[in-house]
Amino acid sequence: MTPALITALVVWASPGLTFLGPPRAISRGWSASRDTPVMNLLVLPRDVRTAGGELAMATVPVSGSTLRTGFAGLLELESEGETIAFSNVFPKGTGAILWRGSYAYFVAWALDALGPKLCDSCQLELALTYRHESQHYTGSNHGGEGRDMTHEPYIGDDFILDAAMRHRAGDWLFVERLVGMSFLPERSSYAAGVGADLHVRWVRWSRLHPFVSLYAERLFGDDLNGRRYPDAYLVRGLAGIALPSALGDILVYLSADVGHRKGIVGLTEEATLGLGVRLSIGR
Amino acid sequence: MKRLWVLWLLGGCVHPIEEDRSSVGEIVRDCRVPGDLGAPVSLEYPDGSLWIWDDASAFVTSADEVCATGPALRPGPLLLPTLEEQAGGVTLHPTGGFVHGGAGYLFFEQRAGDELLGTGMCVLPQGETTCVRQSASWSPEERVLNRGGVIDGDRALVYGCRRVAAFESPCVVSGAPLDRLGDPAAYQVWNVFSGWQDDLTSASAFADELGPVTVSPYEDGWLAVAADIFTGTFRVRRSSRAAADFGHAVELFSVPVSGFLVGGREHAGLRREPRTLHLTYASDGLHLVSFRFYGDFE
Repeated sequence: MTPALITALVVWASPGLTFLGPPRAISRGWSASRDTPVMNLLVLPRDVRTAGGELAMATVPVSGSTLRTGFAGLLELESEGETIAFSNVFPKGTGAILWRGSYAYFVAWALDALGPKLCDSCQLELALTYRHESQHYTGSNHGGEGRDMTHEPYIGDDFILDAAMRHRAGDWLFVERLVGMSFLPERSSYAAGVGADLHVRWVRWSRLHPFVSLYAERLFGDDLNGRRYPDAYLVRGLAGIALPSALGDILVYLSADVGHRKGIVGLTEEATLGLGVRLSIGR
Repeated sequence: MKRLWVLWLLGGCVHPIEEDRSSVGEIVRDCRVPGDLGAPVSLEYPDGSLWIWDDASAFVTSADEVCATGPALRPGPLLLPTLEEQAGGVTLHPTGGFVHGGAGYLFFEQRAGDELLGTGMCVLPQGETTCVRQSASWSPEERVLNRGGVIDGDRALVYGCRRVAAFESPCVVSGAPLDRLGDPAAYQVWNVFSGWQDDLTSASAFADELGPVTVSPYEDGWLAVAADIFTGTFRVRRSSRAAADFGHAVELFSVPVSGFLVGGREHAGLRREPRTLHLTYASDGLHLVSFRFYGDFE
């Protein structure tokens, strides 16, 4: 009997086991990271349509902690150029349609007993994720030539370890998260990466929470298929209002970022100001 | 400040900062070769590169040495026009070739002013300084043989590009069995569907390059290095076959150009490390660029 099967049986037999639930004790759906697997529509400066989600398939309480394991996925369409109009009630941009597809397995370990030892409102969580991401673009539908994208970076496969903390101070709620990424050799344009996440929201009102999210990451370039890729970075901030519910939040926000674009045009460094709306599952 | 918020709400904005680049390798040297030299054509030997100008030649065995002291020039042309050609104002211009059995097979254009009269061939025996003209010659309508050549199995291949319209210069491959190198009728052109053919118009184009194209062995296949005469950008295509199947062009590097790029050939005879190419071009004198690939690029 394989260890995986034994583990599955132990989990199955666990008295507190529940299926299909929130992926994390500390949601990452509020993050300003572009890799957040949520439903998101960035209207400006470019239309970026993200269909993403993250759910725990199984949640198991384990002696003062909670183990969650599940799946996260994200499909994203982004116009290469800026938004110029609304068409069919969606923003319409210029240029090619750029695609990003990402899917991941994760194990999250909420340290339920340890958190309150730090402070009354403290929660702690560690998570390990195995992710694959690829980038594509839609070519011409009118007989035009294809584009050579061999020089563009490729995310590929990586393990992501993150540590999150949530705590309150009066009417302020804070979520901090540190992220480390280790990319598999010969499977990515990057060797490793680090990220830091901060979410601050004012929770005095039950129907509306003003919030600010800040995220910064740096990816360290590597060789892939005989080509050497430079480092990439992104610093991004969201500021807006969250409309909370038992299921999650609707976030309406202004965005500002500086750094490299995501996806198949990841060598482009720019600064943008934008506007978007997000549906985030989980609290 | 209010205006910024309004702009943000109305349209967002994108401010480009920089376009980064990935690369398949790096320039490890770009030296100006000592001496007042233009860009040479060449014959590539296993142990060195014979650099050929219209009025001189030099056998270069080391990129380090030629960068430090310049080439040891042998004054005088490798071949001279006949008295009849001289009387008719015909000049001879070497364009490159291949090496087989220690001897260099050098192709040259016969010109009267700007008019291309035809292509001839001479053989440079090992260690000699005079290229012995052969009877083989081709009219411009018969063959295009002006981009050097290689040996591929039992056949010598010679590459050539000819301008047919503004900014269009298709490049084709001619080949001859090694035991018939002196027979002009043995030089056929390659067609990707029907193989070796006699009619030049049956040739398949493997590239479209106004500037130089140098084909050379690389790992278990072939490289075609080309240079854009307008931008000074060097590009490379890979193929598993010397006669066809060269893929998309991958950019190597760019050099500053005033006017048009002159030269731009790769010298396989100078490779001492298999992933380092050596290329020459002329701008403020002759430059030798050494470019090292990072790995097995696609």
